[in-house]
Amino acid sequence: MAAVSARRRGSPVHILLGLAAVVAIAGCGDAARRGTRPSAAVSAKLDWQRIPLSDLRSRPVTLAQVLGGHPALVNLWAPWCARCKVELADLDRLARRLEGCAVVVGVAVGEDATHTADFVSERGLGYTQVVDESFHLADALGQSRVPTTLIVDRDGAIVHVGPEADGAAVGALESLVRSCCPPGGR
Amino acid sequence: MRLSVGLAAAGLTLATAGGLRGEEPAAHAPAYQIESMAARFTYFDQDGLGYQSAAGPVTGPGSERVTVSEPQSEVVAAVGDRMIERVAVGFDVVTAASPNHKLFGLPVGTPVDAISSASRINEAGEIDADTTYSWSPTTNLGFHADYHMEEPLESWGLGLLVNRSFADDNTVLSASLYQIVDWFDVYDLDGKHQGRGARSTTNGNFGITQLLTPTTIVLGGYGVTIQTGTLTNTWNTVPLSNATRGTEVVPDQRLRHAFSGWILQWLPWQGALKIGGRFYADSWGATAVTGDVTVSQRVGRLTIDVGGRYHRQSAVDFFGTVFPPDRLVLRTADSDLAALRAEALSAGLRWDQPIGHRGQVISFAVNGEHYVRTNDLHVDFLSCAVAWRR
Amino acid sequence: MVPQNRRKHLADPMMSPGGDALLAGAQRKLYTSREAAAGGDAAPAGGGCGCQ
Repeated sequence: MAAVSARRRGSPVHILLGLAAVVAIAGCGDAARRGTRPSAAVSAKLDWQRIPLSDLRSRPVTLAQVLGGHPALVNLWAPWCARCKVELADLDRLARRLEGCAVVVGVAVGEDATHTADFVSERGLGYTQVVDESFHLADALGQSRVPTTLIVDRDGAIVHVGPEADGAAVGALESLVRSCCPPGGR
Repeated sequence: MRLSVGLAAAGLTLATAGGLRGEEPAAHAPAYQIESMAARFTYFDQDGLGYQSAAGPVTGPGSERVTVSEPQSEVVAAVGDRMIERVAVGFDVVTAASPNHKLFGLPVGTPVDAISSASRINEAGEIDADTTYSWSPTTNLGFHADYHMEEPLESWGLGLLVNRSFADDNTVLSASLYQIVDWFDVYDLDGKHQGRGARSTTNGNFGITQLLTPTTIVLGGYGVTIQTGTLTNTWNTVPLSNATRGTEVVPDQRLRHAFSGWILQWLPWQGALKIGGRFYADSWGATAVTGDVTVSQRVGRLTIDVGGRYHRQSAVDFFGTVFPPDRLVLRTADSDLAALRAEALSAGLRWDQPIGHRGQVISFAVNGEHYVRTNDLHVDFLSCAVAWRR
Repeated sequence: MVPQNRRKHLADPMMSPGGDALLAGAQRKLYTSREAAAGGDAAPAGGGCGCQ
């Protein structure tokens, strides 16, 4: 199965090296130690979405491109993290259920694209995956743990932060999509 | 000086992947799930001489020839989201230390130094169970129980362990208490059964695990052990100056201290280096220094381990190779209690093969070690294993 | 301080202090039954029979 979700194939790829992203990264070293809330420097709704990441073919991509203004569940994870691996299949099922209404994206933190692609392929995961090899996104968000689950609304605001994609996270995501997507997806 | 599974694994689980955090349980944590299984077979081949052995000249060292076949198995399971259980079972088939007195000119039927002339082969079995419970995001509790049985001996052990992590799991402090009681048959040097004996072993350990960098871990520990009761192999003998043999006499108490430290360093070329040191001293007068180095290297799915160990100890205060016959003093000729140096070289290969589509891995391993002691003893072992993990 | 998401190498099986538990148990049995200086470091010197 393709390592990159077929739902996203064909989107143009742009390299965006905004000054805001650089400032956000430089200013958020302490945020990484303060726990689970994004720092003030990145509370601006879209700055963290422009941090350059990679897709599973090592092509530059940003979360702004991946989320495309949809409600989203962003899951920071790592292949070596035991608790992360437990929920990968559940995230895959959630992505299929909410297809067209919301985006589920995995961000492999501290990993290279090749290793992540092999890992994802071995497990047959189909939902969107990107790679934050140098921890730029994780540091900008002030998130130093994996797994970390963020729920993002259409405007790019983070409305929920938690460890796993538990009932609270999924409920927060479903409340964002209720108006456009009936319960149980399409 | 290998760190126990209980302390090290529990501590490191907290410090690295944050395996069991005691937070809100994952949405679909199964009630019981086997995480890994393993089976291993080890063959030990020992040869050498020791003064405590009667299988030789009356005044000289006797044979310590032994072979041991040891199958083992292990299952690790997650019980819900907070508990991990490990059960290990092992068996030993041990040949008697001196099965054939004909080789030494003694009449057949003369008791051997192991148990009795009837026990040419000695079987032993043991079962170990460890349970680790995540009390809170920073605290793990552990419980250990074991039972060991062999022909002349039964041994029961119970242990409690607590880990507490600090600074986002960068530091883990651990403490454990372990109590063992042994019951065994007492055989004298003539092979006659003299009823039952017992001994108690109480061990306390304190440890610290510290993450220094994203590639470096240091560990340190202190352990104290108090033993009381019959602390000798009751059939051990000592050479006497009148060309006969007498019984071994050791104190009925022993206090032991051990300090140990390890550095674990990740090597950037997919390797790892482990260096450890240990200092030991006890109330019988023995002191020891041990050094241990292991280098691991991953090449694709193959992991190669090469290790070396150096151990140097002084004799206990009452060790000797000949004793006066007319005085019953503390005395031992046990080669394990002598001044000695021991060196070991080990090597291992492990192949990890992914199977299925859920990340499961099956592993095949082969390990070997050559152990040499300066006082006429060497042991070689060869071991192979197969394991599965989720 | 090492943030939790930077512990990839520390979580590698090669960095496990105890290594293979069954192999470590076999080696510990060899050393504790052939050397007087056992005890402490979480592997208490039980027994004393010199047997395996």
